[in-house]
Amino acid sequence: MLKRKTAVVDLTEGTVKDITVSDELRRAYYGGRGLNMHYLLNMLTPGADPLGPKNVLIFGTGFLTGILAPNSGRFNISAKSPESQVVGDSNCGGFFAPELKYAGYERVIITGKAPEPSYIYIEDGTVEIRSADGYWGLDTQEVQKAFKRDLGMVESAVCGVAGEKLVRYACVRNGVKNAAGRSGMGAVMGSKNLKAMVARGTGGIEIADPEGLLRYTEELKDYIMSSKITPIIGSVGTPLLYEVSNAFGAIRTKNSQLNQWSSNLDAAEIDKHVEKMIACADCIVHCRHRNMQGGEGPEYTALGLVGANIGLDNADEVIRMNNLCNDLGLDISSSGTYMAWATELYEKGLITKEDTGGMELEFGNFEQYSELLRMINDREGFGDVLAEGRHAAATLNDPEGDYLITVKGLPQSDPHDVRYMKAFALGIATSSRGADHLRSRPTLEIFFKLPAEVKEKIYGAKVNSDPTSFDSKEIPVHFSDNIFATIDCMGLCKFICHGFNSPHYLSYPHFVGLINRATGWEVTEEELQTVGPRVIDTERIINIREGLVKSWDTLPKKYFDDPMPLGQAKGHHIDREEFAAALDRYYELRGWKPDGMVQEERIEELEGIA
Amino acid sequence: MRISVKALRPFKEALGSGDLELERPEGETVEGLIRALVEEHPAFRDHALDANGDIDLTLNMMVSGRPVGENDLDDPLKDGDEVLLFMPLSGG
Ligand code: SF4
Repeated sequence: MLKRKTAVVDLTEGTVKDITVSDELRRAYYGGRGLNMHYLLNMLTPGADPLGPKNVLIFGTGFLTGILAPNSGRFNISAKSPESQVVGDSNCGGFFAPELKYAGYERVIITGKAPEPSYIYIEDGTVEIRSADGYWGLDTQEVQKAFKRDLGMVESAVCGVAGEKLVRYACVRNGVKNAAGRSGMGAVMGSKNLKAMVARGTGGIEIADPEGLLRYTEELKDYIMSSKITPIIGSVGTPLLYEVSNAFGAIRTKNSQLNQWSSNLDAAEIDKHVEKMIACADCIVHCRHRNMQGGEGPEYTALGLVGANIGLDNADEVIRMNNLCNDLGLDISSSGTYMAWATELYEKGLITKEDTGGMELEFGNFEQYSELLRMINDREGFGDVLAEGRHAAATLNDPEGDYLITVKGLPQSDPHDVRYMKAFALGIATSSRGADHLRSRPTLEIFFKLPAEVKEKIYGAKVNSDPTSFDSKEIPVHFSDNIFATIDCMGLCKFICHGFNSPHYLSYPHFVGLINRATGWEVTEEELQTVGPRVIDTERIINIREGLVKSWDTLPKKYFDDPMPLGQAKGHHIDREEFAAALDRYYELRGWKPDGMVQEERIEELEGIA
Repeated sequence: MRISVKALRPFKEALGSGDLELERPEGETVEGLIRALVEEHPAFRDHALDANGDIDLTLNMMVSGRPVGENDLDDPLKDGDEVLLFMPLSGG
């Protein structure tokens, strides 16, 4: 039940082979991020060049994707990251994942490198490697249109020219804006001469109890829609978060030299540029904006990272930056972080016009940043240097990356300055793919009035209610890590799941309700709760094989050394000793050794799952 | 005493403005202020109160930089306090 095929495509040899996936393995990892990590653990050669043919690139749909479960149209792309020091993994919405399932496949594992630019075409149970002649060199929008023109109603996950040219933070795009944005999966595609995954499917998915599942799905929809938060996400979207963070003084501004910026980027200003709200497959929330500048977005991340962080305060300009990143196929979080980094280095005199090819970098200069994005995309002049991301640190006279807002080599994903909310800080420090709110953002920390006994019930332990304290904050981080990993295995959107937003959204009992109706299995909540820790430990083992040591679980230097200068959060920073103690407690809770390594028995157990 | 209220969406629409300057009696509590705002702005009721008439979990508040927890609703405000009202949300 619910099963589609898994293909291994060797681009060097030009071969496609279907492999068997046991139910034992499915129940250990389900799908999406989890199964991807299992295959990376087993197939990736430690130390492999992330941009070489030995890297393994996996497109894996969520376990519940394609069956009308609410907000379930998601998939994960995983590989060793060419951007960070660790595992690469990125979750994406849109319409590609259900189409891949209807085409008969739930996962495609890609090895090797094609001798010439290629794309992979999947249709109703067949997988073909085809020439990308006529598609190579197109941006993410042009190429998707070209596939639709030539192949009909297909869905595709593509890289742009940035991916072809191995820009280390090139993303993978499906639709106008849906992105597997983080950790450079577009560059891994480019390194394999792979322009796109294109799917067309007309097949159904076998469900154990279709009527029961339909009824249950309806119940869940009503439950989600009854939350006061849902209509706000569906009408305002994430731009609301910009004004929350900004009012409070927690918006990353000018490479975190400041923490507060202009109200010109508040949601009400963005509203003026919105044509309508749209959605991913099977979504009942529709959090996405179609903007009047011809694209989709902006999200909070764009407002922060190609807005406040580079000193832009004009909504129209920020939306244009957002659209440009989307069209080119560049990760917005990384692009905004690296451009702000270079600008601060220039302002401080650490680099000069000689390093920038004559560019006089200054915050707030829209034309200059638009041009710089194009130069990064084309690897032209100074753009070629910045296309290397944090790998350019020595060239840019910041050899230790003291001015970089990264963890484990990955720029922080979201614009929230975490120096105030200590659980948020611990979350980005310990996240498996580097600084990222989608791995473990313990949002319940900002439900200030959540009664202590409710929190205790959720977390299974008492948690200090002061958000500025590290005391006991390993508990919400550990909880969030686990449930977010489970959500990523299911293929659900975090917006409707417990822990990321309201405590009244979908959680383990609901996941179990969907799984059992869809498969006929009798999974218990207790069993499902073992999945998250399994995924986290698997990622940890992959990272350890790539050289991870305890000192990589840290935060940007500025977060320790520089107190926040403005707003209600003024004066807050991260105390090194308090952070170190919280990290030790986190390791203990996770069952890791004091040096952050995974216990040998656990490694053996996870390597033994087949 | 003078209290300034900064309300973010969706509360600011319900209150008619995102920035309110209010004259309130000495000793008024955080909860007292919210209930007074509900009296004055009926559209704010659905946002501010839950089905039991208690202050809704999704009405998040900070008073002059301090988060208002479940046990802080009875805390008296003081002259010059800045009250921030916002909905707790995550995303990127
Ligand atoms: S809530 Fe937004 S991101 Fe999530 S599935 Fe819906 S449209 Fe996509």
